[in-house]
Amino acid sequence: MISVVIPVFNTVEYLPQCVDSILGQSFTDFEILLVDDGSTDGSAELCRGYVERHPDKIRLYSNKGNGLSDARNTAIVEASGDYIIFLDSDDIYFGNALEHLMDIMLSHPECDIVVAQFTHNINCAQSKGKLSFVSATDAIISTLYQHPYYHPSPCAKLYRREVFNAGNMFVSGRRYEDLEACPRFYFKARTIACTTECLYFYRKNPTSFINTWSESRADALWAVDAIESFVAENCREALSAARARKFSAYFNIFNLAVKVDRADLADRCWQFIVASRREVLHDSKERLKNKLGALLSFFGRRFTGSLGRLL
Amino acid sequence: MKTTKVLLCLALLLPSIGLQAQTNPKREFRGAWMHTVFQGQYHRQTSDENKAYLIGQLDSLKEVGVNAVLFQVRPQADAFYESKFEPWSCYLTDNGEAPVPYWDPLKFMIDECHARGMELHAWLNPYRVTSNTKQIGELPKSHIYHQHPERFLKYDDGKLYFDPGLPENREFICKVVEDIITRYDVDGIHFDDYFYPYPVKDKDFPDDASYAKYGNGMDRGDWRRQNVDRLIEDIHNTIAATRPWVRFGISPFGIWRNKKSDPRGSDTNGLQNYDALYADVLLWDEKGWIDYLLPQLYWTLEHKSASSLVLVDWWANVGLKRHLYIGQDIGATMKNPDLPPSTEKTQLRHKIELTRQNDNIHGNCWWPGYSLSRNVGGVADSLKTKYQSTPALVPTYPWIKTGAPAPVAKVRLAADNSFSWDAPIPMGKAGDVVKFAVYRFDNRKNIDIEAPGALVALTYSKTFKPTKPGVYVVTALDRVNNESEPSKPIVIK
Repeated sequence: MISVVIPVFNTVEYLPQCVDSILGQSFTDFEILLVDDGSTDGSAELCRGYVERHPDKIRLYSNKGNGLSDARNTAIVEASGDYIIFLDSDDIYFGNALEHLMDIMLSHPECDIVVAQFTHNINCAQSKGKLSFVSATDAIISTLYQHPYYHPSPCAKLYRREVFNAGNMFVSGRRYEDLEACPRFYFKARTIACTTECLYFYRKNPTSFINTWSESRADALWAVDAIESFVAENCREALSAARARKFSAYFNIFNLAVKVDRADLADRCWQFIVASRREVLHDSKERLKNKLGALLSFFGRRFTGSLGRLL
Repeated sequence: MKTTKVLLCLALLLPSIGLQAQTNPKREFRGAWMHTVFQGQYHRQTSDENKAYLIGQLDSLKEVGVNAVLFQVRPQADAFYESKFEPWSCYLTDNGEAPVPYWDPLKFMIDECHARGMELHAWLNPYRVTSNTKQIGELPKSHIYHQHPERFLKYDDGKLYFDPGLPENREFICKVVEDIITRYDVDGIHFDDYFYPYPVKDKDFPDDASYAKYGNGMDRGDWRRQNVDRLIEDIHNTIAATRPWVRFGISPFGIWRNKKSDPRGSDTNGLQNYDALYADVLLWDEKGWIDYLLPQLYWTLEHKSASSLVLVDWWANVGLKRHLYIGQDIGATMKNPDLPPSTEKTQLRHKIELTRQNDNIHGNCWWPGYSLSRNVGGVADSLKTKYQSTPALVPTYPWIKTGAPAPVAKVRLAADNSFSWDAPIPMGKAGDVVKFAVYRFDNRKNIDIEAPGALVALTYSKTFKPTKPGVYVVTALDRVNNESEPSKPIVIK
């Protein structure tokens, strides 16, 4: 059985599409765990309606605005399935997504995580794709170098529940919790299957967190620092990749900090950029964007601050 | 005008008649693998739920014409049965304890498979002990690892293995097999593709100590192959001495060696059994240590480095002495279109025809078996209505035993229109009559048990309840599927 984890917070408009996308799956051996995080727009009532109509399939948990991580963790603990899948409450899985993911998982008992792709185009469900298998370390490296198909989101992936054993879950009270958690989840996997199939529809939300500045964006720095220490301790082969991901985050936050006049934050980022730019230029696997950023930084802080965001 | 129309209609009908009359072989291995490793359902469900679940699975397998179930009973030095040597599997219970309420999955599966006329092959993984590092700490106290940690090696894939280089480990694995075949009425012992571990890049298997002790200056690769060869030979000898009718089959990774490594190899470019897993599967066939090879050809027909088109042909013509069955991956088969000019949406027909066109191939096996009950890509529908629509007998194994058993006696009709017959009581020999084939004909004149579609059922019971009127005959089958002459016909109205 697959436990489908849906954290809910004020998405009343999209929630029916989201839940219905699971109820209509071709693979039917699932349970849905809705975790309402104190919605104020009627989402909670909507959830209750679903539970009443499908008491055998859907359960509802109520958190009090403790955030996305706590909501997901609540559901992981309560899940009774052998497999876990995450879905955000304004997104959907295409109708055969669970079946495709389960087919891969069932045929490859050595895999603990199956990674699929998401799309912004709702008409673009794609259930044909190439399948490849990688070790945990290679998946971590590919993710940190931001290679295609290796996204850090917990969504569009099927996990064997053992991945979350011993409290290996999301860190609460932080943003970028998914980025931070991804290498820890991969690390627990024996093998990871990656398919190029697009099985998840992701809604572009113009007011979503990623498109606006808020203090919590600095959590990106926390996440990449945490990844660096985790990798240093557990799989040193991925250390260059972790440093590369860190450079990327620090460079982005530097540009944002300059834009919103956060001198303290900009200082912190600039120090790291200066200290690591040579390393970035020497790493043959480094993304071109990071290399350009590192090059740019030799022209000075002000120059980088005004041009860096164009990268 | 009218005649032309009729003729035209007939002409249009012909192709569909041709399809209907498509005949499937009377003898063909039709296996299904049911793995238990990392299958959380068994641990999650209660004993009763497990039984109901397995019955559902077996009913589905029977419905699609499967005649042999390969059930994983020793996923990793543990047991889905009451073992004398190893703890109950962590995929069934915690701490190596027996399930409560008690049930024995292997015993249950043998009984339920036989009740459906299917064979049960017990599937064991020889060397694997744990599938990750965490499980090492969770091995029950009774596990042999705790008595003899020195006999186990941890590889860089995170798994723990019996060191294949130690003779005492070979003996232990043989004892496990002997225990199963003496206490359980299995039809086969099955190993899959895992021998020496799949290599982790730049990491050699850490067997320096046993190599130093037993290597005798041999090339390390030759020595490792010899270790696996000896295990296979010893298991063969154990079975031959104890329950000679139990078949020993292996489903290796699909490539023995590539042509560029060995002129005898296949025109492929993938991992090689011989070099990477130290599994010289062709030698095992040549020596007659195994009864069937079932290479896992889990690739598409057109796959660039391991085309199943190329590999089916290679295995069929490499000169095997024993049976060859083809391991088919349901996903790869059902989710890829056939090769042009065919416009079929799946590769199922093409792959089945490849195996039936070649006399050196004696059947197929479906991976994973659970996908048959789920009808992935419509596979169950196609097998049920076309390619396995009629039952098939498992092939014979003439190197184990030839000669037909005596026909059944005293076929008699009961009041409820069922009929029964007599057969000798089994004496613990390969020639024991253990199962029966039932045939149906429209009338007495055309009784021919080789006629397509005549075989209606396989049964381990000495009674049969027909659902259709007709003329019926019964044959007896011994433990390796040799078939007797037909019984006297019995007419059902």
